[in-house]
Amino acid sequence: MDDRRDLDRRSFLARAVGGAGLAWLSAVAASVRLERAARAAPTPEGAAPKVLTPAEWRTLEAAQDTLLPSEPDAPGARDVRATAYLDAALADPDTEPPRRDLVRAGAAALDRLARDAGATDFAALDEAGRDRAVEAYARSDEGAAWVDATLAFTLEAMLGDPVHDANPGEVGWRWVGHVPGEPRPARKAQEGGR
Amino acid sequence: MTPDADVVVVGSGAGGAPVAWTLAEAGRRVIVLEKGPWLREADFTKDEIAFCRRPTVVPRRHEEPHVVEVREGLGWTAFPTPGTDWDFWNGTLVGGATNVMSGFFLRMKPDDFRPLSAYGPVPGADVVDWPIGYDDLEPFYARVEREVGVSGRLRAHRFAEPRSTPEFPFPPTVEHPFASWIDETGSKLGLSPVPLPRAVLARPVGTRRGCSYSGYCGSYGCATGAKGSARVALIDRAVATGRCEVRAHSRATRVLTDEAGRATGVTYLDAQGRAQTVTARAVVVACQAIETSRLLLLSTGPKHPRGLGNAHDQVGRRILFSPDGGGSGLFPLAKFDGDRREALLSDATFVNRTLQDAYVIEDPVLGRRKGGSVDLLLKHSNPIQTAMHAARSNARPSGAPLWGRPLKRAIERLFRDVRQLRFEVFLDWQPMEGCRVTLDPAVRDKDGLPVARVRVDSHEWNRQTATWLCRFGARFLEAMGAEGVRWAANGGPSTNLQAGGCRFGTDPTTSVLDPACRVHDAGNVFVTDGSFMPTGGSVPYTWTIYANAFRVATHVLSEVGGRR
Repeated sequence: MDDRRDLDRRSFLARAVGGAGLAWLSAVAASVRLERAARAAPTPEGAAPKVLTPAEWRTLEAAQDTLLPSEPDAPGARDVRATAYLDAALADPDTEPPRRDLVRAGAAALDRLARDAGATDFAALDEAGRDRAVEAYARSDEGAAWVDATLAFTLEAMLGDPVHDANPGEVGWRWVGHVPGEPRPARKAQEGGR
Repeated sequence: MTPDADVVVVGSGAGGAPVAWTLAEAGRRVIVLEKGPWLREADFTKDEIAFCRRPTVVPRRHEEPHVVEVREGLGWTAFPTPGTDWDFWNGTLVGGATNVMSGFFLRMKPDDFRPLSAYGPVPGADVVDWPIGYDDLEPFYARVEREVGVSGRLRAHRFAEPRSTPEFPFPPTVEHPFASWIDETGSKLGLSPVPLPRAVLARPVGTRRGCSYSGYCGSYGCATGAKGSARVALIDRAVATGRCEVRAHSRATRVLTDEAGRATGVTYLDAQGRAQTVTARAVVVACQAIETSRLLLLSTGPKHPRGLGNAHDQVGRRILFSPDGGGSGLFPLAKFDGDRREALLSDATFVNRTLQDAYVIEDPVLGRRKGGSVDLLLKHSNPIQTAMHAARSNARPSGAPLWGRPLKRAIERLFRDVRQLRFEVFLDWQPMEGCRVTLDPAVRDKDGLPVARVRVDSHEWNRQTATWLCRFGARFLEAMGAEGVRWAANGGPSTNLQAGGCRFGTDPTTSVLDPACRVHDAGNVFVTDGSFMPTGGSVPYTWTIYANAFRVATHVLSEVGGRR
């Protein structure tokens, strides 16, 4: 019961997505169809994206790099293939449509902010420019919820069990000195557990 | 026609399992319908993504949402749960939420059964004395200690409840070094920290192995059987009699009633979504409070046009939670050396201390009132959750969490440089007529059934009292030498602690169940989860739910003709 009471979190998330909440109920089927149509070009890593468009991939990859930058002594989003993880998580039927839509809406919002700043898209900004764009977006309720959701997926990629194609070589656990609990999963529980 | 079973039980958690076990043991045939899967020890790994961050042991909210109604300005605003942090599902699998509980087991106290007489009315709340007393439930608390397995040791204190047995039947789990530190601080402050009884076995008992001290208990299923889930402690034994059948992946849709208003069985959807019916001589509903009220409201019949037991518009009213509240403090490792530093780094054992010195509080402003329990515990070992805590606890004014290099430094500090001790508070949620479950007029689940709409009406008393207890907890952490102590209490509900909605009582116009937890106007339908509770007591509900379900099981057994 301890860890399910996350006091840090509840109020602003409810505020951010509460108003728009009903719309997803009817929009789910349509958005799934759109996603399938959008799958096209291979990612920079060679695999076909599951959900993200190439433009969204490029923007979110840059955004994750801003949220959790790579450093010489401390791994970041790029070191754990966080965008491939994010794309797979958004395609997972366990992920809620509103959360998936929020992450994608953030990509569009950051690109708009980048264009306002004179760049072609968010990824074209330099590091300081990206920081400013995320900072500006995070001042809105939607932007704050987007940072929270995208950061959560990025930290899953960094600190989750490698069985989920996260945390390659346990690089994230080694970074923070984390010792995983036993028993460890031999496969994804969702595949056999339901 | 011979019914399929003597009793059909809907739900296999702390409310349903004691009935299934009692009836099967007494020679009666039982069918248990469980909405979720049947997972066993081998399925329960310490996989944070699967068990804490994805709906592996709960329904997907986008397939089975709830609608929440909260105050906004002078009115109410409603929204469905998907995409929010609101989640009223707590454990939809054989054994229910007891699989993933932390097993903090505290009894209610004698005055919790007579809150109106003991503490007086709370204006705006609907406080009543219970139709049974502590003495009626005590033998069943004791039975749960033996049958479910409660470990602990007694220590005298001001609010200790009377017991019929001299000691706990099982020895306590190994304690973290923080425990003796808490005891020292308690002595200094004139307080008596209570060793926390825990539904976790330190040593093997029967087919259940002892705790492996993996450091991942709450939110995870137990891989050894040490945790007293309703599954290992009761369901497995009921099934072993050969008289209890558990049907997993079976979603109850309606309790069927006849012209006389009595139940004849239950309809449900099986794993393939096919409609099925099971008939029985008595029906037991135990789906956790919100879903129990929903199922009764869905169960209209010739004598129950407004829903089963709802002739007086009482079903779903006075839903109880526990008001959220908690805090934390940091112990920088650099301040300690050698053994003490090593000890502080250990995650694997249990702090096992609760402060009950403020179960009743005397305050110059608030007066004398019911207080509650303050439980002390380690920060959870989950790494993703810990990193998100580093981000959220350093949030920007907009609510956005910290990110970038500053976040990485905060993560490193929380993992490497400090030990975090937390506390959480347990206190009464004042019962409100309008804090209730109804059927949502628009939103339906994946099966096309109306979902529960939950109006969360929190009395100002909840926030005041949670705040008082958090200040008390924070002062305790500071007295221990913790740095950076912070706390929060907003009066909101803890969605994992649910009760009420079908309170028991003697007046059918103001209650749903009689004192035996039988639906007033449907004599062979019983409700055995926490729904019966008129008030919550200032402790987690699980032990009381288990105990009451054992008590009610004796009435269910009588209803179907007794032992054979």
